[in-house]
This record gives sequence, C-alpha cells and structure tokens, in this order.
Amino acid sequence: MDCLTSKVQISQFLDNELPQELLQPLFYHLGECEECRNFFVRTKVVHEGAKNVEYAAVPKELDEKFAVLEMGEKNVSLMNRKFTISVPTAIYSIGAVIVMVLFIYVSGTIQEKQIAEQYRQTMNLTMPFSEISYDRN
Amino acid sequence: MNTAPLSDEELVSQFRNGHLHAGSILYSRYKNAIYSFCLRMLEDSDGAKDTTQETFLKMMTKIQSLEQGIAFKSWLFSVARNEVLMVVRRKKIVPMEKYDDEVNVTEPSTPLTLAIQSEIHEKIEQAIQKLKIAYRETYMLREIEGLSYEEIAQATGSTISAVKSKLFKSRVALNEILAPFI
Repeated sequence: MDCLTSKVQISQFLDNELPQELLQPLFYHLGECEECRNFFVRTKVVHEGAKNVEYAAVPKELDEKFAVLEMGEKNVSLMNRKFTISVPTAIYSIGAVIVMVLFIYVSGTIQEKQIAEQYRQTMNLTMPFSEISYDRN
Repeated sequence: MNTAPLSDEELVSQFRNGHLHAGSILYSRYKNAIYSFCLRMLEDSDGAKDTTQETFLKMMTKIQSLEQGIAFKSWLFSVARNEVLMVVRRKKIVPMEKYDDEVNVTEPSTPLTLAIQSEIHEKIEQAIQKLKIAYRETYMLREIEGLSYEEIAQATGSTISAVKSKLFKSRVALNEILAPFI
C-alpha cells in the first residue's frame, strides 16, 4: 500500500466509513510506515479535538426576534384549541349542578317560610295564612 | 410518561401543520450551531448574525419545500451555506488567507503551554479558520456537526466522492498546520 492510499483510508477510518476488509492492510501499513503512523496520530488528535469545539452563542437580539414563534403559537392555539372532558368528570359536574340547584330550592323554601312566619307574628295574626278564608260576600 | 424529545422530522411535520411552537423548538435546537457555522465561515459577527437570521426566516417560509428523505439538519445547513455564499459574493470577501497547498507554520511556544488541552483546541480552531472556504465548510459539517457524507453532499450540493476528497484534503492541511503543536 502506498502512503497516499493509506492517508485517504485513515480519513475514512476516522469517519467510520472504511470497509472492514480494508482495515487489516491499513494497519499492516501503519505498523511499517512511520510517516503514516504520525499522520494517523495527529489526525486522530485533531479529529477528537474538533468534536469539542464549542458553539458560539447566538446574540440575544436574534432570540428576541424569533420569540415571535412562541407568541404566535399562543395566539393560534387559543383560536384552534379543542377542549375535551372525560366521562367521570362530566358525571361529577352534572351531579354537582343538580345538588346545587336542590340546595338553592330547599334553602329558598325554608327562608320563604321563615319570612312568612315573621310577617304573621308582626301583624299579630294568630291564624296561619293557609287557614285564613276570605268571605267573598 | 414519555419525555423523549421530539425528533426533527416530527417537529418539521408539526411546524408544517401550523404549530409555531415546533418551529421555536427547531430554532432553539440549531440556533447556536447555525450561528457558529456562519461565524466561522464569514469571520464577522454582524454578518453571521444577519445570515443566521436569514436562515431561520427561510426555515419559516420555505419549510414546505423540504423534500421527503432529506434530513432537516442538512437542509438547514444548506440554507445557511447559501446565505453565507451570497454574503461572500456580495461583499467579494476572500475569507482571510486560506490554506491551499503551501503551509505557513509559526514556531510553537513552550512545551508546557502546548500541553494544555484548551490551548490545543484553540489551535485547532485557528487551524480550521486557515482552511479554504470549501474545505472548511465540509470539515465543520463533518467534525463539528457530525453530518454523514451523504448529508454533507446534500447540504453543499456536491457528490459523496467530492465530500470524501475535501475531507481528506482538509485533514492533510490541518495535519501540516498543527504538526508543530501535536
């Protein structure tokens, strides 16, 4: 194997793109050729080092501009959102409404009777309203 | 509960259906990568900011043109690359002195300094900047972004064999530039 072929294959090897059957001849050559061995070591160091190169942070100004995506989503989602409710929740809700209506009706009736009783006592009526009969003549 | 982040494909699909939040996630996922790519290509922070902005605006307006079978990441980098090349052409920028065939190597400083890992990273970063623009973009897409040969070919509009060739030449160049330090 010549050195140029060896170096091309080293490049592919580092990218995990070198076919399996070419590995043995490559490493055989590396065992014999110091120049290619040095190339391999240095290229591998750079290859590993390049993976750790850090990203530069995008300017805040751009983040602010693209925040419109989030804001837009909120507006769109309110317009198009579908509301769902589970069956047990629906049953509990209906039950709660019925209980509330009954409570209002019963407490209203009791209160009505109390007011009527107070009025009767104020007017010194001895007979309950229900027993008062009117003479139409 | 499944907390796995959504894939690019899922986000693209949602974004296409009008869910802007999916676009917001894609922006957050790639903003620094795209900005760094533009910055390393142009070596100008204002230019990098503008091209990053244009890239994501195009993402928002042209997402429907992303064809089936093409990875979103390579598509986004191809958009960024086109934006960068437009700026280069408009301003007729010749990005610094670029490594081609000759190598200009400065003498290394003390061995102790060279032993520091961060210093090596810095040297690598500087060496990448010395590559020709065509080699640099291919090298960055492979080594920093981890794109496959096929994805790089899609992003740069070239062939897989051309990608292999550029990567090899980039590595030879970096090897020579960094030989005194490693």
